[in-house]
Amino acid sequence: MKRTRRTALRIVQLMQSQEPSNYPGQVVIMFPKVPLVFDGLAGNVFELWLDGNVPTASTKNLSPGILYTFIIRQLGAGHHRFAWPSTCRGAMTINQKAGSTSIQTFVYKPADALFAIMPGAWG
Amino acid sequence: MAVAPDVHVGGKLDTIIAATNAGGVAEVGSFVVALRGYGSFVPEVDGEAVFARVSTEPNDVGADGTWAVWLYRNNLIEPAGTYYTFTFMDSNGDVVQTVAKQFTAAGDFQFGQLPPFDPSQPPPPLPPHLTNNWLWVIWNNPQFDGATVTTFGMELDGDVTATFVNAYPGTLYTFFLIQDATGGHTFTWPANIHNASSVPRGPQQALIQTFVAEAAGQSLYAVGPGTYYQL
Repeated sequence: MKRTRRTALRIVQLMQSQEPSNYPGQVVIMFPKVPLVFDGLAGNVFELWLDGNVPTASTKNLSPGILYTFIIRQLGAGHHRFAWPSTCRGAMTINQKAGSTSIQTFVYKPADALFAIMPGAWG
Repeated sequence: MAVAPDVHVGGKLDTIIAATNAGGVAEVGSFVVALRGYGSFVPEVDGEAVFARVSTEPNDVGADGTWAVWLYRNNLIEPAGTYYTFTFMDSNGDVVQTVAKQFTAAGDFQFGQLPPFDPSQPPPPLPPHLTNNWLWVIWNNPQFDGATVTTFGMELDGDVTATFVNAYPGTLYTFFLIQDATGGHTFTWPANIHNASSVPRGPQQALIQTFVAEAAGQSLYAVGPGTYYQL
């Protein structure tokens, strides 16, 4: 039986404590199917567990001025490819190493795109 | 004069613990009432520390297994939010049932007729979803107010000397500064913003940089170097 690959996506919405805050909310975990859509209504921190290639991804429901963080983990043997959504500008090249983590934060400019606020980090 | 407990709760053990065990021997049960939900405080009524007046001595339990206790109303107890748990045990000391109850009125109550209390309900309300956390600040009125939003955009149509007010300690503030189609404009950061990167001068060039407000809320410090874009 052929094994199908499924990329697990955990969306974690972190609580901010004061007003005005970057994004008040609660922890939300989701496991959507490919193609991947990062939904700004679900959370502002997206944790992606790569156990396969992600050839396309997109975003929706992004709020102006909100910081969105992407955490991308390489599972298994690693070397899985991830195509950033076209809305992401200044996106890093993710780490290919097995077990590695790549992380980068963006801010959404209204009616425009997600702009990385800093170079990404590898771990 | 101390306030007296005015909640009288009674029941019969054999409604919870079987009258006889599997061998047909009369079952002996006991129960414990505990006050919960007072956290690290000493629970008080009218300024005095209190404990539930309860006993499981045999002489307090009738031959038919009836029991009764006097309790304080939970809305009289400080801190607010307390409740009682009733734990019933069989003759082996094994817990048969634990139930939470909360009392907000004086009177006589039959235990079995009281609704259970769930200390986790209702859940706290969700905070509102932010739909717009971006504020365009006009270049010739360059005051950034940290009490409004946490992300500011500014198009530089002229030279700017900016100020920042009302920072919330621990909050991240992001600045998106863009030269107009002409470019060449200067941007002087607010004096209370530290380690800021220089704003590029080319037409439609932009700088994004994020800062965190320190504990006193007076200054902002860069969390990393700025990032440059050609728009």
